[in-house]
Amino acid sequence: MIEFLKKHYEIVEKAPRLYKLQIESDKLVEILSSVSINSNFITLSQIACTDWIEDEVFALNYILTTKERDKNLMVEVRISRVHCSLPTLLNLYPQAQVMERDLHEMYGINFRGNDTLYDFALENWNEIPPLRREFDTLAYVNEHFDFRIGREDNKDVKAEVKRRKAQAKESKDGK
Amino acid sequence: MFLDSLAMIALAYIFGFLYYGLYRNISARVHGRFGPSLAQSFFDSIKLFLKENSTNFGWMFYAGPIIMMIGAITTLLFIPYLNGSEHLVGLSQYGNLILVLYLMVLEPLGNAMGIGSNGNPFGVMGITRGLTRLIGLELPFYIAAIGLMIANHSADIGVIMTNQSEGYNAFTHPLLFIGAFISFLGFMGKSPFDVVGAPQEVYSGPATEFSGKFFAIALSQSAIFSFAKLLLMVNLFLGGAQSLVELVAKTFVLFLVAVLVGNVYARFTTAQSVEFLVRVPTGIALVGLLFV
Amino acid sequence: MENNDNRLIKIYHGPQHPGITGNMSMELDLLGETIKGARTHVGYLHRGFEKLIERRTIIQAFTIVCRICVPEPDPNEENFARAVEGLAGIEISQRAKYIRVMVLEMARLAAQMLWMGGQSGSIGLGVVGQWSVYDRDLILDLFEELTGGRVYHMYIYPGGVRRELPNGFLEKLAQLLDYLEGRLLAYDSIFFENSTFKKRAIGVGVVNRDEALKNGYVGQVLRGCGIERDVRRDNPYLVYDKLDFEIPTYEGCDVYSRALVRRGEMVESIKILRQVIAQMPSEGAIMQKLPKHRKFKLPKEDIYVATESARGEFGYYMAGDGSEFIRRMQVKGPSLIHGFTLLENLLVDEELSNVALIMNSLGICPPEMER
Repeated sequence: MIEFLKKHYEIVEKAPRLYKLQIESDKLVEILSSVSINSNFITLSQIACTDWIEDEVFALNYILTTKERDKNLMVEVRISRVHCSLPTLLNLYPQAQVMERDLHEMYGINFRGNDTLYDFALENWNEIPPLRREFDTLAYVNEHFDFRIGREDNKDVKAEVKRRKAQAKESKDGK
Repeated sequence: MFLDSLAMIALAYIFGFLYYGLYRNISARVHGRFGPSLAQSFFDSIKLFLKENSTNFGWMFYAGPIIMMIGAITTLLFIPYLNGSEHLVGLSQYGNLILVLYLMVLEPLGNAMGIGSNGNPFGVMGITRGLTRLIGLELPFYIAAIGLMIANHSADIGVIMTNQSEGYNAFTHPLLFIGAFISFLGFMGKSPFDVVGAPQEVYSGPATEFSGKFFAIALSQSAIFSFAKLLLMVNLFLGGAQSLVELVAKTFVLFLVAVLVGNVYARFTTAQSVEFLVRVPTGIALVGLLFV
Repeated sequence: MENNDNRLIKIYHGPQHPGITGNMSMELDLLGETIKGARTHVGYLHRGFEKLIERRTIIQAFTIVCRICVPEPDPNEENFARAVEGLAGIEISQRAKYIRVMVLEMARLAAQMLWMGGQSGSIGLGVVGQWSVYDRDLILDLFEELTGGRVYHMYIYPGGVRRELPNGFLEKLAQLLDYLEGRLLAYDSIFFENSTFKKRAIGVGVVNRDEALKNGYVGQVLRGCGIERDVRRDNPYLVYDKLDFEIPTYEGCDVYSRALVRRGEMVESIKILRQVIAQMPSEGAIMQKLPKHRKFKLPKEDIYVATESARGEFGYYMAGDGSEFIRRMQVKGPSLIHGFTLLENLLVDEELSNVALIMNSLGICPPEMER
């Protein structure tokens, strides 16, 4: 099976039983259907998305597993961060429905043809999709939540350690 | 006679809750842990009497537990406690076994009327299960009761009790006893027939919306009713009792067997319960009827 | 869900319910007591771990990772450690590998005990839960002696394990295994051979065998359908290729077959642990020399690793970016597909009484679905 794939595509072996393939986003459905039918990588295990903000792309890895569950193939697709849209794989793999829903909520990627892209884990979310790199969690927390009462004397650990070290040094020098 | 009846109700209340406390302790020992103190159920009931209601659904919702309590008390008063004694007889000379069997239906009925008035879907599911299960529970129990009435040529519980001086009905009519005992497990709310208030399925079923004093009334009627059912079984099959001590001993043994059986079985669904009850204990009781 | 039929009642089974495994809710459309439509809702346990990890170095992320799956945290630590070792090119010693296998199998035993309690509790058999949670407690006592923590161990770290085995640990483990093997007979008579459990479980929750492999079902769902797959044998890691164990498989595709599969796995775990005790190398560094925390950088690569947990295949995708922070770590737990794709279809035309039974049998664990 790997030999068949190696003839048609450029497969890189990253580790024993782990392979990688880089493709263009417009050929996604075509290549994945062909791989499913012609080789025994028939299961979609995961759709993993990484935000390479410095290159302005999202790198989506469609991780396929063989029927014998012994090898994994990562099919990587790079799409633009601004116009992030891909065709859905719902017709090939029913499990893609929940994975695409998760990515839509967390990254804002639109999967064309999947109309069950309602919320997955967040409720009444009004900000930008949170797993994008430009989403600042610290700013969000400071804006929406208050510290509990009784935390005013909560000191910053690093500042406190520095102050105590300086104090100890001073008393040692003074002796 | 008034004091007599009061004494019967008071004894049933005390023994009902005491047995419930014993049930919690025995189950706990089976599980490998200690249980709460024996008087814990009393404290729970008293605490509930001191709390207010948190919901208000109209008069029918409050009438439900009261109807159940009336059913419990009247059922109790028509069953004599002791064999051949003039104390603790209550109203038993004015009624017979057939009346008692009719009055036993008041518990699920009162529950249904009360819960049906508030529209909580879990409560409604619980009572439909209870009423469906009742069909299955009643069949073997009534067949056993009919068998005993034929054998003793009388429907009077006192007569059935006295006629057991040669041997208990549990041994002279063993198949009737087995059929009635399996149904008795369901009446006492023990697995595998405890589908009514299954917490993993319908929260608490019928008890979902009760609170405060009416919940306390519902619990108390449950205690009194349990004791009444135990009493009925002892009178019908184990020869009644000559003294209170013997009564406590016999009811406790029956209760212990029911608790231990209930602990090791899982819960049937409603359909499975009815299907089992209509097949197995009914069949056994029918065969037992042939031998009467 | 659109509810066009006036006879249908909509109820929420959860999120605060004794009949669900964890903290999620099933939105059910009921006709009487038959389910006509089901939808899974998660989000009550979303802790934002994947976003947190993006600003954490490896030692900081390591404390977060074990909290992703509550019943069985160790496969998470193993996945994390193996992914970092794969990216950074670290080789660990044989002794560390054997110790890791020991920890994973002990965690698997503890998780199966907890499952028994949940499954029997869903049908009203409370006795089994009380007994099995006590036996699990004995395993947790051993974990406390080894790692300092009972449930969250934080023991398996990239490069090996964090502490040496205490004196006499392997003897105590061997004694515990003898005790647990005896206890399995008691569980057989109260649970696996219980006639009421069989009546509830046989023929319920039947999974379609033909689409099981393609749809991505894992773990007991596959092995209960007669399909023999296990990551420890098919895609082996650590020293599983040197250990001798079988993969219990049953043909029924229903709740009862899955229960028997788990019972078989408990027996196999005890067998593996005995082999580990016998074959444990007495020499070897338990932890490799690693760069200091702020200097432990991962190359700009990505990797995918998988471990077999008590509920099925756990997959981690990790990407580094050349700095000391982890650029992306995406978790795919075994119950993501089971909880959505499989459960929503299995529950249609089922009775309400069987919802808790089926959810426990599939091993649905909300914390790993929503991280």
